[in-house]
Amino acid sequence: MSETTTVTETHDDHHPSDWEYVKIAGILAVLTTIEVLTYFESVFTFFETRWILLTTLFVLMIVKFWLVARMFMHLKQDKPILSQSFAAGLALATGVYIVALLAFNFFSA
Amino acid sequence: MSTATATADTHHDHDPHATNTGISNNKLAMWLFLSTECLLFGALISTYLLYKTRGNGGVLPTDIFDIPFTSVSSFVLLMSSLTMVLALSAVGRGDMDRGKAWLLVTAMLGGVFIGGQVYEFTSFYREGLGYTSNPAASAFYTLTGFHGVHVSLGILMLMSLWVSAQQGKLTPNNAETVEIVGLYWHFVDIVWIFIFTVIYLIPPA
Amino acid sequence: MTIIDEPLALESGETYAEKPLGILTRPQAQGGWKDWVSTVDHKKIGIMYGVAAMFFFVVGGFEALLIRTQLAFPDQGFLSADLYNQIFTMHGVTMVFLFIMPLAAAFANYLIPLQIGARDVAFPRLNALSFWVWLSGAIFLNTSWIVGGGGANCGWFCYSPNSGIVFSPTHGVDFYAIGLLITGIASLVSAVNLIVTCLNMRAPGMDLMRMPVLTWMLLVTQFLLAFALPVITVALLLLLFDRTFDSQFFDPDAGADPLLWQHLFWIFGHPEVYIIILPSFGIISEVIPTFSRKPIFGYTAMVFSGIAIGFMGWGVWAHHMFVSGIGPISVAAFSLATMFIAVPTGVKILNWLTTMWGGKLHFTTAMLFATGTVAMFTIGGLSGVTHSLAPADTQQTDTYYIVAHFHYVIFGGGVLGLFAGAYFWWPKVFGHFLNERRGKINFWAMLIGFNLTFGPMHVLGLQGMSRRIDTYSAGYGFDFWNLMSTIGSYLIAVSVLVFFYNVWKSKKEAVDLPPPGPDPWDARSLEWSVPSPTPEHNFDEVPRVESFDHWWFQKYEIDDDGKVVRIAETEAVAQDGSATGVHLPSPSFWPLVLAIGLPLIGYGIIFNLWLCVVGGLLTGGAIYAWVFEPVDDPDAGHDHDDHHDDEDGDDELTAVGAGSAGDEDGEG
Repeated sequence: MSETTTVTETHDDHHPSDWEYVKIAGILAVLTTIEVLTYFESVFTFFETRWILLTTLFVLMIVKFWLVARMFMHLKQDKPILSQSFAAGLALATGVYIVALLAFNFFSA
Repeated sequence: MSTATATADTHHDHDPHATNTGISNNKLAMWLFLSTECLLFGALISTYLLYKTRGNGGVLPTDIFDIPFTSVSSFVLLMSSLTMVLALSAVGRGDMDRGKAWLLVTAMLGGVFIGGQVYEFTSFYREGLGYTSNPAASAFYTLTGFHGVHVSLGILMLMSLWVSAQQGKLTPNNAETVEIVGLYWHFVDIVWIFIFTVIYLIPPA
Repeated sequence: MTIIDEPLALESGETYAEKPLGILTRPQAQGGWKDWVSTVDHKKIGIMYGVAAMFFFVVGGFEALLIRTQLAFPDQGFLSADLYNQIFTMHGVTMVFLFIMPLAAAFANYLIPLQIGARDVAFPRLNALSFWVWLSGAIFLNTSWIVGGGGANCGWFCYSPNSGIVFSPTHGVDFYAIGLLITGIASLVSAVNLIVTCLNMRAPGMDLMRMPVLTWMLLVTQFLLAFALPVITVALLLLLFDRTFDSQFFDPDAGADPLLWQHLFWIFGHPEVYIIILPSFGIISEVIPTFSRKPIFGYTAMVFSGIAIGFMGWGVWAHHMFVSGIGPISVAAFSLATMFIAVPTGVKILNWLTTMWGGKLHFTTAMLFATGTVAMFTIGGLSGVTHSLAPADTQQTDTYYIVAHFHYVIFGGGVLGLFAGAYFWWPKVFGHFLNERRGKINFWAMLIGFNLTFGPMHVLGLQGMSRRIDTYSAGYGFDFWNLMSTIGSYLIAVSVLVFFYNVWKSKKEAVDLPPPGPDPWDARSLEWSVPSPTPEHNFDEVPRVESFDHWWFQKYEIDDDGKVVRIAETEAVAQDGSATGVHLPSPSFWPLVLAIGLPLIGYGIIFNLWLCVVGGLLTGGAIYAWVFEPVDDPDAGHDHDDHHDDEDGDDELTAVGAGSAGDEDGEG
């Protein structure tokens, strides 16, 4: 950290090509489709089991979130400090609000 | 690379473009701002989660969600993230025509999303879910409305970029400006990824 | 890079001097009022923060005196119950949001760039924006006395449903909500700005772990602000929507949960306590080593305990709600977390004491205030531990014991420390000392008055006198201690008058006294290596930092026997401030224009939506003017054409990025 570096250095990293972006968007589209399919419980009856449904939805959500943040927002290529600061806000928000909802007995309902 | 400007900049006693982290001030500021936004949306989402079953005897948002419709508009917003990175990539390459086109497409996809939200709100209102109907309704409209305001501001920024590109003020040298607006845009998108799952898709127990 | 913030066309059509000093481009309005309203210089902004904060200190202090006058004797009718509610509410709001926070911001603005060896903050115009937005919010908040039918009357925490339209029918609460939203925008912008400054603008060699403790504590404070303000923003908006648009967030009859407000408020409110206290901790961490003639003891522990306090401050908010019925598990968890937070605070107190231990103590006024801070904060901290125990807290809640506790923390720990800072950095900022003899009178009057005011409140609280009551009956044993407390409060007022007299008189006397020179206290951090008052460009030459306490090691070294040896005279190693042609950020009127728009939107929401249109146009117009100002810096374009592609862009995106950050803040 002590050495100053120029802004330009961050641009030397390889951003994905357009084709790679399209592929990521394709994955996102597939994941979204699976998400929406859970809505049709009568067709995919295993989604009637609540823990399967919730696990599926949360895993898909986190993967989508992760893909956009890592690839489209370039956290993968950028300096770690950006990931760290964003993770700090995200973790703080998650922790604080889960505790607050716990205090309301939200999850035991 | 890092010394290239220091020698050219005879007026300054150190390289003015240098930052300790190697990240420009603007980009760092935008990321910090987005981190703080997590707390903002977290509060709104928690409020809705707490209140989602409190209908005070009236209609609940969960009763009248139109999942297929919202799925389409969510998909539109998701794909606008793709067009946003394509815009950035084009501007970075110096392909300003394509960059402008993708910026415009991104803004239009955002516009479609907002249009969908307006339609959704109107039809919910017709079904008896007013802003003041019950705590669940207030929390739902405030959360999604806040997100909508964020998308609208994003559209405004995208259009500003497009206009300045039309006027020739936006050049490949400003690729980072596009990137920073893009960060904001993607953030708004990932907030919706969260909202779409937690608010819309998880059915009431 | 933002050092090259662009000159903006001024509305008045004022012309820019063509390069009066080399490439130094500034408007010609030097020194006049235009200079102050358009300045982006972090030092002038710091001074303006300080002046405005002291003004609101007087306002809040006046409100305190009204409270104490009402309570001096039993069964008094000096204030009506309603007015009493308004006064104690506005006293709290004013002292927290309009005095301590901006005074801390004054120190942060003035000192962070100097302590890290920078010419200015990362976003000079956003810095000006922060100040003007804060000021407009502060003025807006206080206009409720005139146009809002009185001040807010719901306490500074403004619990629902008491804050709803049914129980608080005047516009006071609306002014509270919107006023705090506006000042919140200011603090959020300022927090992001100062974080980027600390992370990005440090001089070569100024590692994070070489930054002075004050800068570290201010950095932690800014992180707390950045993360806590969005929470209160949401809470205030929900309150405002309830009151203005009849939403149902806090109406128990409609099935809403009033505890939601309490949670949101205290998730913000507890970090806020550390936002108030940490700058003061930082200040005395500079003052105590300087006047003990020793380096700070346990620098790393100081830094990490500060970070730990900032982090743990997020896990204790519900200890404000032990009696609200949050359930035994929550109470137990938050009670434990609260006890743990005493650990890093204890580390800090220990380190200050060990810094003084064996040192050559010089009890200047600044040092007196600093030691006073340590002592008084310890008392407040200990009483705090007593109500981390939920059973004890159940007895203490809503009594004067709590009032005593938080004044020992906030006044004893916060305000005394800020006064230490004022006496310490006065010569650096204004180029002359504050008189030491009057300063010591100021200190002792304040310390005695403070203890006389708030010490008895412990007794009153344990005797069962509840907070927020507008009067009490004779014969409960409250009479004597209330009178003592009132006498104490007037003594505090006298001490503040002594301070103002000292400010005025010292300036008058300064002409006959020798100037303080760059380093009058023989101090340790970089700001003392430049002339007093600080020249506009801060550093002639950006320092190259080789160690913690770099400036001190320019003057001294430690020989083989471990003895401190003077190696250079201060004047020989200090900078003389003679550099010319240093490129500084150019002033701008847009921050002020933008700031004027926001309270107009506020009045619009309360009175007439058309005003919102006017305010919105003003704000939006200012943002666009700010963002799309053509980039015509003489320095930027042509020099670098033959270099790397990305170089030219930086200047412009400084403007755009800065503006777009403001853009989103405007709505939040």
